[in-house]
Amino acid sequence: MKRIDTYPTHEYEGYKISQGKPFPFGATMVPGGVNFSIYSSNATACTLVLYEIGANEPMVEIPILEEFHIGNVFCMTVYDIDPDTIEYGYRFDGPWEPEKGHRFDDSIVLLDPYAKLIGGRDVWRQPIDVNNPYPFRSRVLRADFDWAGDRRLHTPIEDLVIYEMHVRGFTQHPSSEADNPGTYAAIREKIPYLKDLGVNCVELMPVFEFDELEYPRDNPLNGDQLINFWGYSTLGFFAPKAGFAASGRYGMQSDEFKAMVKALHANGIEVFLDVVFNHTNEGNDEGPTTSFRGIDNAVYYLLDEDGDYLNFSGTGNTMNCNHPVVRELVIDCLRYWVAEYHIDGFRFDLASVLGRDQEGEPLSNPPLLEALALDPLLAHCKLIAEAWDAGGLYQVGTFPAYGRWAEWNGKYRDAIRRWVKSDQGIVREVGQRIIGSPDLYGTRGSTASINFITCHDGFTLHDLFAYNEKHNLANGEDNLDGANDNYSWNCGVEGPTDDPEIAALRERLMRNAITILMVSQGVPMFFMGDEYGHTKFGNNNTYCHDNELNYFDWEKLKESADLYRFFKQVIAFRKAHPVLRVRRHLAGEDYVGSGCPDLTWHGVRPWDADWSGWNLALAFMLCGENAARRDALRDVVYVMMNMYWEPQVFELPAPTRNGVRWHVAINTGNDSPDDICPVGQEPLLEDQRSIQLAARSVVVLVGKAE
Amino acid sequence: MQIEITHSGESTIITLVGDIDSSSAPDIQDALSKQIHENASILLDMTGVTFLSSFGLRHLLLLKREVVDAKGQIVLVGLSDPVANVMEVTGFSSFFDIYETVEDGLAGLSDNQGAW
Repeated sequence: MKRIDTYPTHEYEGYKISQGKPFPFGATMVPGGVNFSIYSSNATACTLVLYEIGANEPMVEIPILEEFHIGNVFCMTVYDIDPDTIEYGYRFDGPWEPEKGHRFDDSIVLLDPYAKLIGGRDVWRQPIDVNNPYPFRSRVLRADFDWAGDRRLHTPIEDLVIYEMHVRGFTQHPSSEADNPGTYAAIREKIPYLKDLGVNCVELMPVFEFDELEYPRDNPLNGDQLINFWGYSTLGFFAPKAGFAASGRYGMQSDEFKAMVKALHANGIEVFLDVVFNHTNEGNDEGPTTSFRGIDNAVYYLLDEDGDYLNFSGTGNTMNCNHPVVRELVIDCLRYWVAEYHIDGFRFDLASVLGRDQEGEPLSNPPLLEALALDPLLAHCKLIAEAWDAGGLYQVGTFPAYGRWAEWNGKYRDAIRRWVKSDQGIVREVGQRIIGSPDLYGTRGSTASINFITCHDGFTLHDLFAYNEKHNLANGEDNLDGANDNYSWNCGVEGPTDDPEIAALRERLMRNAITILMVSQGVPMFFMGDEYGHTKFGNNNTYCHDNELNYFDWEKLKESADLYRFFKQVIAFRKAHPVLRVRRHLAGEDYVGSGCPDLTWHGVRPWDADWSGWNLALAFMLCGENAARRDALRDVVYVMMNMYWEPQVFELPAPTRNGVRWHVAINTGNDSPDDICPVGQEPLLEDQRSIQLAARSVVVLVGKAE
Repeated sequence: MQIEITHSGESTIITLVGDIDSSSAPDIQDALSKQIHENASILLDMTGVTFLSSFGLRHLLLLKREVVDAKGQIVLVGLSDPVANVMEVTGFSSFFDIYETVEDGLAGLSDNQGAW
């Protein structure tokens, strides 16, 4: 039976309309038409602007009648329009009083903040139509994807190996040989690769629609146009980036994205999104007005008393995240991505902004963070904070967690980088970082710590050991952008070298780093390309390059087969050893009286760890006798790290049980393939009492019964 | 949109020429609905289809469901490269039996007789 409220009550220029439903916000297909709903607390009037897809001029502009204005919500149903062929925007009228925070200008056609699809950049880098002043248009999504039995994986967070990646960067290089390079579909094509590598979670750099063509600058070194490649510049929070979809030109990016998620899930791989709520693409008062500024500037942005933009994001504006209206937008958005796209987790860019109040002051109990932590729909989804912002707030270890939030552990990154390059005075901190940073996450457990040494931001793993300094001139900012405290070491020569000793040392340091990452308690993450030693030639902030700097090189992957093999095996090693993945903090206790505590520290002599400042040799034993997981009970792992520039003999403790003897799983001092042994095939260590570690090397033993 | 209906043995061949989108899909639906009966065996020849919109694809999937509900079967043939690619990247192709030519499609239909 048809609903009795699906009839128009008014007509405007031949278009039949009626008062709309205020909920849900955005454009929704309803019987006979499309319902439009949008809010603004300071606007005086709102006009719906409808276009045929691709047309520069609107087909009609329908002022939303006063009787369709409920509270601060403008809502209207328009009948007999084809949601397949229209796109829309809004004009808002209201005061132009920048000093009071109001910047209304009804000459501008604005995006719907709840737009589920956004047109205008349907194909990556498609030429700009100079005759179209408002190219970004909201579109109506038919959200009826057939998930055909997709199941959420709910992988325990401690069992994840997170692979941070960029959708376009992963397959755009010709060597990828993908059918649809640079797209969601191509990630689906490469699932066999991800499985071979062994990662079980991909964290996608921003996929919300952004304008890759927003930069006016060129590369000063070669004149190439600079492109917003990374995409930390959101146009709309509900719309997947069309230019990352092979089907974007047909408006089917949503289906393509979902097909990718479905296929990843079917292969046991979770999908996390890097979400950027701390700012938008609109920048400061000199930036473009595409949506929020023109709809309700004083609500969406943090402003000072003169109406100027506060800038805690480093990009010109800051979202007013703890305004109730903005808070709802963020919550609605995340719920939408979980419900509609089956997303498993989120990493929040500059998340400390989400804990600031409307004046920009840090809150002790931020309502938004609490709401996300306790939200019913987000209940099983992983929430990860980049626990700092560009306004000086640094909350690693103190981010308001509500028992839910994990953090990118920036202190882990810095300590392990320094350790691997043999910095002294760091051993005590390294001890904390390797066991899940209990000094930072005492009550939260090791799984609060997302451990990483590299990510999209900063040096790649290769460049960490090939460059002392950043080399960012190509970014067009006079090398002033990007971090200066990289804790990197070039091993003697800045950049590429033919010196075989330096090359071999770099290879070993990369192996040391990834080994330490994979034997640390907490959740490991690394960046795509590190598995073959991708170089960005010392550029540590490649946000603006649509080229080889950011493209995964599949040919190089083949050439670096030894390093790739090492990565693959060390990931497999982590997965095979549950003592490396303990949720609570290890305490050095032997609760069950087995004779073997869960964690013990050692040095070049067993039971004798040296925590003094100059020391560069450390070992530890993880023993599963006390483990809560049954599969860990017989598991014992011994890790030795010699960060000295000379070889050192390590005496060994006796394995825990009678009949168990040490076997060598990893020795980064050896050449491939003896640097790592496939799980289960570890050879017996001939001398069970001691082993010599090469200079700057890591050895990992496993206890196995003969 | 031109729609032509012929028969080959037990099978119905529906030849579509033009774009499949929200404006043409209802016509296709009308034409096909008349051909859907128990154990119907339908071949959709799309050699002349130049564009398949998001809504068009959804209509095709709904038709497929109707045919399956009637214990019949439906195959698609003659997809152009762009159309095939869109169906592939969006995951729609996994719901359909797709063949290159009418002959292959008819053979596929008879191979599957009784498979439901």
